[in-house]
Amino acid sequence: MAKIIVVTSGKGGVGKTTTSAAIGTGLALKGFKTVIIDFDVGLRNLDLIMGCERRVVYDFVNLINGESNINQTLIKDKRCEQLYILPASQTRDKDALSQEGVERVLNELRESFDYIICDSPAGIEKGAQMALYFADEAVVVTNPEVSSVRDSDRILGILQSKSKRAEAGLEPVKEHLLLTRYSPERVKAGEMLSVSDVQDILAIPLVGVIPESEAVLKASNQGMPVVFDQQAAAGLAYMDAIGRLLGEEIEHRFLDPQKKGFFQRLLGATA
Amino acid sequence: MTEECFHLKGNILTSIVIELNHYDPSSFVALLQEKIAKAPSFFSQSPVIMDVRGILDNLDPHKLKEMVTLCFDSGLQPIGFKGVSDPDMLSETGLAILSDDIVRDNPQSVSPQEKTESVESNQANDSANAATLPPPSMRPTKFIDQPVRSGQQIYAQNANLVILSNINKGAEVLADGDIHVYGALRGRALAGVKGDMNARIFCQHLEAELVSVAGIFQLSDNIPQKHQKQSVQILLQDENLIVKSL
Repeated sequence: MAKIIVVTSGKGGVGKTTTSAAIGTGLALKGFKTVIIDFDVGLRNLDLIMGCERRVVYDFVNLINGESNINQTLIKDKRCEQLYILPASQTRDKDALSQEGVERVLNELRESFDYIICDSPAGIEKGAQMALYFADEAVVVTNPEVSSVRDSDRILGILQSKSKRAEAGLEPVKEHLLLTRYSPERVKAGEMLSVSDVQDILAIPLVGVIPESEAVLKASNQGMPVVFDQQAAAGLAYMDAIGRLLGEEIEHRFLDPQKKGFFQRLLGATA
Repeated sequence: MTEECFHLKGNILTSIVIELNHYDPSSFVALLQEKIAKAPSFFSQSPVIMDVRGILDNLDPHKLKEMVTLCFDSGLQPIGFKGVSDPDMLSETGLAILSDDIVRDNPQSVSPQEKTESVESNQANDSANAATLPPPSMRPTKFIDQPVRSGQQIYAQNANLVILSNINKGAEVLADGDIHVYGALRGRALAGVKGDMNARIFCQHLEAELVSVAGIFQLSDNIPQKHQKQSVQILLQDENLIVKSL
């Protein structure tokens, strides 16, 4: 029985799709059969980030409408055995997602997958609510700035009141805070909220801090999820976050300004 | 704190007034039945005041007693007489004398279709401002353990409110009674929203966007800097909102 994880934020442009791609790929690299679903109907991006845009034949809306089946619609990743992508429709809008249709597709996927990652659209409207409705866990992606924190706060309120678990009175959706685009230097200079500032406001467990990194933009443009880049701090930070999602105890790194490179620092720490 | 034996509260009672022009038992009953038949539910168990100023010349205790009985028999609830000055006249009926300054006339005549209120009576406290009275029948305190998040609103109706976590920016908490916040207060807090001017807000960490007691409010810009991020109480003094350090 698969676990459904929604990647959400409220605010746009904070790194939801990058995070969905990274977490989905990372889970698959760890051996879990994983599917990433793009809920951003009308603004399809996940296929670009995953580098499979030329292989999209059918999409999520086709599947919901019964115009295609799961095998036809899922795109199998070429780099990673256990990874599948369910792309969004580019020509439709969010109204094409019916709750019954989404539930039917998710139930079908639950039977054969270990993890279902739902990449939420920005905002708090129907598309975002649909992406989080069936979630068991939520990764709330937040940038260390006030408007992103406020929107994350809002989406946490919606998770607690409008998810299926909340409505059915089940155990609440498990919430994880993922800080992205974190720059320790700018925090030190007082230009950016610190981890503790954000945690103080949102008051949910921290699953990871992804440092601001040029590797992320490069990875997106190449259609190569950043976790494949094990030279980049961002890739390593995502793998740490995935370990924590799976319940491992991993110490947070990349929280302090570093002049030295990562490997130099490791050598320095062990010396 | 021990509960007092009773509280005094103001109340406004809407009742029907029967204004008598002349009186004989049979025509009184006949007209009463006719009126009631038009709107039985409107008249059922309605409080009724009998205005006998029009028939003062021709009154005796027996007639008044008879009127009361006839009203009860018709399913009304007579509560008093208007226009009678001698208490002895009413001793047999057991009802109250409602003097003119207690009962103010409503110039409109009552028709069942438009339920206009006709009479105010029994204003228990004449001078005290009704707004300073505690909200009616307080309910048990409402406790919130989770952070109150942006866009969420919590209202403790007829109750005090205790929040054990943060109230984030964009969130709003309201109570008819007091509000206690043990996390950071960053959103809006409104105590005494039904007008209880004795309500107070207590918080451990004041960064509120807005605080209000009984509708008198202050924005964060107007809260003195020295109280920011401090533990304070907020209350009304002479209709001014005061922030005091704890």
